[in-house]
Amino acid sequence: MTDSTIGRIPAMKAVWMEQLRVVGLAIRREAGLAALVVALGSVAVIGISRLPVLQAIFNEDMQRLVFDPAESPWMFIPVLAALLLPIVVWKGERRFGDTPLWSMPVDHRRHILLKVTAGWVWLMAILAAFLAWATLTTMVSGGALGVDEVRLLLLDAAGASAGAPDAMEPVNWTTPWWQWVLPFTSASAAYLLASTLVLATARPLFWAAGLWVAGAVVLGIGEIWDIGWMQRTTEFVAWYIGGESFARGVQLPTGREVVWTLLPTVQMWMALSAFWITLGLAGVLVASGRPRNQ
Amino acid sequence: MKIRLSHADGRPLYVQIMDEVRSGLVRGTLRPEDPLPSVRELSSSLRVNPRTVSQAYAALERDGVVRIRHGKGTFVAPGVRPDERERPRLAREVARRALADASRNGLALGDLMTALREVEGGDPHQDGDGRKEGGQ
Amino acid sequence: MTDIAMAALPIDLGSGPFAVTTRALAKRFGAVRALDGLDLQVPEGAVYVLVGPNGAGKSTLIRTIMGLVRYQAGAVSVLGRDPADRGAEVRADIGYVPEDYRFGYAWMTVGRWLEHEAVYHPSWDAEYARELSTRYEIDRGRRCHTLSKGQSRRVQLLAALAHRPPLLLLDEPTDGLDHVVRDETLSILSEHLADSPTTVVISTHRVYEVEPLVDHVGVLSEGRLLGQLPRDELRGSLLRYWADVPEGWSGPGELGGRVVKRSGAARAIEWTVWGDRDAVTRGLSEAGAAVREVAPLSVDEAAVALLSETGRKAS
Repeated sequence: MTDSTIGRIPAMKAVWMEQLRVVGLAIRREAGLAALVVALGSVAVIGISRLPVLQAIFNEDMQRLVFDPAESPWMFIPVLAALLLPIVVWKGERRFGDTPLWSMPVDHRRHILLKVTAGWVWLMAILAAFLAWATLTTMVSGGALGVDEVRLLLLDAAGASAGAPDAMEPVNWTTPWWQWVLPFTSASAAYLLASTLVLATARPLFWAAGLWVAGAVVLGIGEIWDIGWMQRTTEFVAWYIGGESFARGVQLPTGREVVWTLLPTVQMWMALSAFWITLGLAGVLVASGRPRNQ
Repeated sequence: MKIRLSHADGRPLYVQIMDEVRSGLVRGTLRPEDPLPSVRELSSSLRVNPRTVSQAYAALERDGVVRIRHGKGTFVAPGVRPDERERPRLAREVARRALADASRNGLALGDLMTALREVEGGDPHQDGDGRKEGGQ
Repeated sequence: MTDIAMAALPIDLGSGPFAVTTRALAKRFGAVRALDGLDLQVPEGAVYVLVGPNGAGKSTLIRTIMGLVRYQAGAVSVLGRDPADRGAEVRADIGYVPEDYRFGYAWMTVGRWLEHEAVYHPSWDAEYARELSTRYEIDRGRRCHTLSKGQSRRVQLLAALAHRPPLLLLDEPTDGLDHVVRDETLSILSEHLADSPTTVVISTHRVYEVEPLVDHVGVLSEGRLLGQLPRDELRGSLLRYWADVPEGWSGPGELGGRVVKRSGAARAIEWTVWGDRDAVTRGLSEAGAAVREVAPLSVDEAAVALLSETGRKAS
């Protein structure tokens, strides 16, 4: 027993690299499956755009793909993946029992954070690959990258339905740069919040379902009693995590039109990102300190 | 040299190892200056704690039977004369066990002596298996 | 049993040096007291076996030493450190075979899992790991979840030994091993102890399977130690006496020892007594009993004698 062998814990960099590899091994099956689905999707999209036979079967709308990263389904898919990823990352670890992770010579909280970080790196890589693939598919199928359109911004809802000319304002809109980053920030926040649930609760899916129901109830209450701030809040949440826009179909005297209640700004994105990611980080930090074996 | 241990035996393991070395000397399978197996070899082949083997070797060294040369191993002491010390000593040990066994079966020393002579003389009814319950 | 006062065996092993100590260690799971004022002393270099029935607290104790369980009262020192606040360093010094033979990372191959272990233990001896791999006939290409209990145990033992830690914590190490592999394991452990200075704590139901290696014994019951002493002291002082006694014999007065267990009927009686052999024999003889045989107990028998006694007292 010499001092050099006593209490020799591994270098944190080595542990992190190993966790990166372990998480990679853990998620490879699910990631492969997802890649297959995405690949089939892009084959279908390209097929529809290039083959007249398929064009005849599908209607006009589907022929031109518009890839707007801030809109559903482009946003919804990464966020859904980010929400599910922690379950795959923590596969095989009994989070509240004895598991190899706790038996290793690394401080438990630090080890958890290293693993969460490793999972996040994979998420970012997968997301980047997905967006690159989507861009490629859009280009090959002759679609449009981002939108370039005139949007009707609703200034006065009552006036608009009455036909007042200054109730709406047409705005030239092109997809801003930050909306290409939005999937990454939204997915990061979703991943951190889902990791919090996985680390803090024994039954994360149960809690996730509970939160979903609670959110739906809040939404319902906001709608039924027409509570403005509640509606506004749920709208923001939906936009940030689900890629749901502030656009809604409104019956105007000229016919039914899609109008925008709000056009998101870079400040909104930054403020919301800061809020949700900070919340997620705080959640993970608190959850990582939870005793694992009582 | 072959060392056998019995876990049913009442003697501590290190004493059994010592007795086996002595018996090797008496039988002549071990001679002065012969090397004994290393602690590692012997403990591994006997599946015992190396400390037990070290303990036996250290006790044998105290008795002057072996000499431990650091870095080289354990050897039978050069001056050891098995017939002078080890033989009577081993005989006493065997006698002690035989007496204890006899007493356990309610036999007196006289019974034992008579039986020993008879068995030595070739008693056809010998079965000699009185040890089955030894560990109980 | 009214004339006989049962007392616990000694639990103080003196002043050390100790590899592991606990002082008045207490741990509750809800209302259940898993550890109840436990004073463990594992001397440096000892092979210490913890025996006791299911639920006695053996695994909880081992997991506390590993820093996997938060204790509520008392103190723990593992190679001079408290696992509660220096868990990482404590675990770095421990080769751990958990009671559970299932692997967390079931999808890994055995080879990959061993690589994983090597990353976490900078002192990993790759050559030794290969040698053990050969001796244990470990197939590195297999997936961990396809291993049988015994095969898993071998992989776990390899991983615990390969970084040559100063402390081995083996929770039911022979569980699932067949006779040949168990024998090989004893041989491997013997060599390991001869090659590397190691303290070993073994928790097991099957003491007889590891008994030749053991030099210290702790008997655990209901979260407390009934005894903690060197194997040789147990062998020398906890003895079974068989004696023939006269008809209507009333029993010895003071035996000069502590009777752990008494059985037998009429004219032949068997005692298990903790005490000086000569004094006990004399006491029996003076009371008119003819002592026919005195024999030490195996660790298993000693544990059974002690544990059945406490069981009777409790009921």
